[in-house]
Amino acid sequence: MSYLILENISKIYNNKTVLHNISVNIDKGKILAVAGPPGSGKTTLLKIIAGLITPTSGRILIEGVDITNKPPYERGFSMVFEIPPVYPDRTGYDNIAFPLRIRKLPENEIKRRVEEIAELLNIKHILSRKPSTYSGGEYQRVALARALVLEPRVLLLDEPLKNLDAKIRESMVTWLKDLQRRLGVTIIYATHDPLEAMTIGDKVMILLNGYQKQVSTPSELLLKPVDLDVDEYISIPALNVIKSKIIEVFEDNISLQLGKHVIKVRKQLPMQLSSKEVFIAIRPSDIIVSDRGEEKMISGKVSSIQYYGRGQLLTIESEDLVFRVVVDRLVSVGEGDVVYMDLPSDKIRIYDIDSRRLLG
Amino acid sequence: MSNIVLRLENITKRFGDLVAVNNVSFDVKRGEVFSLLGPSGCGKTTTLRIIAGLEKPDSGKVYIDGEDVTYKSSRERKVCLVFQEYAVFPHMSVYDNIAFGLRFKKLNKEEVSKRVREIAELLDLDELLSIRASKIGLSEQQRVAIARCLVVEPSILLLDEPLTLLDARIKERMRRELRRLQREFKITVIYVTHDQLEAMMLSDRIAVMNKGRIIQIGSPKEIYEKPSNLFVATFVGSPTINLIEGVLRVSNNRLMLSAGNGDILLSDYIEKPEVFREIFNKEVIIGVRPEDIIIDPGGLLQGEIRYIEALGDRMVLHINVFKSIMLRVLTDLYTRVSIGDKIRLRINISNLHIFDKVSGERIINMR
Repeated sequence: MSYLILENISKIYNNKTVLHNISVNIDKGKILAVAGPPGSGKTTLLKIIAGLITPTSGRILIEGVDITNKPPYERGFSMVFEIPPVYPDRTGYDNIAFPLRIRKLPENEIKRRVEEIAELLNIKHILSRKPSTYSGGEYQRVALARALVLEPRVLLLDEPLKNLDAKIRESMVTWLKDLQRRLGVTIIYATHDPLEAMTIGDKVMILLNGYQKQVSTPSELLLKPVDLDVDEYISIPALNVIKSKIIEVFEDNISLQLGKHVIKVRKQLPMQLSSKEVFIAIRPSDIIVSDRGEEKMISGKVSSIQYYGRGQLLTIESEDLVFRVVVDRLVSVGEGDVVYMDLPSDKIRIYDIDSRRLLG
Repeated sequence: MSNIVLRLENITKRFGDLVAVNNVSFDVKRGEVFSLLGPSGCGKTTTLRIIAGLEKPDSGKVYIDGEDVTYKSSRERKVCLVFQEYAVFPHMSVYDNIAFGLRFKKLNKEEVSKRVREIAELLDLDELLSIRASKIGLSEQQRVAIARCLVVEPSILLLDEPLTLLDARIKERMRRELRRLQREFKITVIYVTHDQLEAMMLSDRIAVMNKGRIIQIGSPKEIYEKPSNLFVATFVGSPTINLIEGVLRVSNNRLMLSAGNGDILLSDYIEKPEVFREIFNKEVIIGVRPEDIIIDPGGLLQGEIRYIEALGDRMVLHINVFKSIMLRVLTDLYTRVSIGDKIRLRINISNLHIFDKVSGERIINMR
């Protein structure tokens, strides 16, 4: 049985539904990343789990016990917010010890637990210092230490890294994941950044406008997004989405109109999709570019190049279509060059224009 | 007019005991995007504020278009600064926000309207002119802030982490957008950021800063492929470069690294062994970028996959070689591997970085 179960959680504020029937199971010791753009309902969902907000309907179960109506302090969860409050006039030690003192633990027990967690989070050096002397990463770790010192059953993290430098953020993600593995704590991690979600989550929930679009492992999510909204949301650099028309459906392939080009794609689709308008989507890193063309390829002119170390992001204009393509850093290409693009069939996804669901 | 728009000459700025900017000098060419990149507290924002005229340096000179402006006020300089928080007036319309930039110009109404509409059209804001700034999206607000700057036709546009507060997806779009605008207007931009990816994708040249000093200035390609020391090598690039300490040896054209647990054969044939002569028996740190380690059944290194990290449409394999060395290896999502697999690896030797262990400076160029 799953450790933590959310069952049809909905929340309505002033006749506006901000969360629609959220249902998910989380196993003990795993990380569920909740990813969605600002305003998609992530924080509301976390606060409902923490007990800070009551859901309009639905249930929360932990180890089979319904805790929907239990107050926050009886749940044994800890929550860390985007900008965690750390008392500026208290030392690191006193900040971390605070929740234990409220619970009136003996001082020697407090000391043992504070030192243990400080060791684990690598912040022993700031225990006697006040928050104004901390770096961003240290500040964030003190807040985490204060949450972890209570030995919570579930740790709820709401954009805990949002205000950190990019480089620190990157190492904090690896560090947090490693810490989680050692402690075995169950984590729900909210972030607006799909890459961060896929890096940290054992499973990722995509939350768009209050709807739970998909819950799956990071690789499933990348290989089989359920609809165009999810595909667009998780693709950075931005997904290539082109309005197209299926000219004809054959037994094991289809012909597609792409601007002025007609390409053949190996896909098995129902015959009735012939002459239907669709969206086709392909990620920038999945298009193959070469400087010599074959007839089946789409030619275009490179209008801009953005080098970023391990790769280069090209913008390629082909008559009325614009493609974004990622190539290796060693590919030598200049602005104004004419190149040829191959769109591999297994990397193309076809979506219904109206429902935006995946057709194949 | 000279090709140099901005020149900083030996700029130093102290705040109490802290040397925020330490003897910084550089030139910025007309029409280029020049980034100041570094961690929090490296002095990049103070440098920008000195250029803008919001701070006076303790020593050194600032020249804009050849003129010494060190002691001139912000308004007397032909620069315009866009802050991290866009400072768009929420109660004013988009039109009034843009026109605000022209308030000191003493232009008549028609002239103001003409200029505002021109800029608005170029920035795709023409449909929004009558809307209140509080009602438009973040990326539009950013364009309004930039439009307000561009409308006064500054020599230099200064941008202080303008994308930090945007979410990851909008950020990527805005990077492309900014680059397109800059090309279209051929405007000189100085861009401050802590995000190495952003700096690389936007800039013609980057100055990497640390502790008040400039560590390296170069094109994104130079910075990435020839980092001048360990700081630049580790700060730029994601996932972070692999570093291994040891002593390099060459025998019979074989390149070997003696590390803690024995000899690691890096290459069984190198063309110019004499390149390494000067560093024989010297303690070095070698740097290998995660994309320069390739899974190859014929590779010389053997390792075991300990941990697989998803990174968007790629994966980072954490691979244990020689017991105690952990390497990060970047592969695409379609690579079929699992934890515990024993695999062979090849290091792309031509992209090897070698640093002095003591000074951290780059000591050999492989190419």
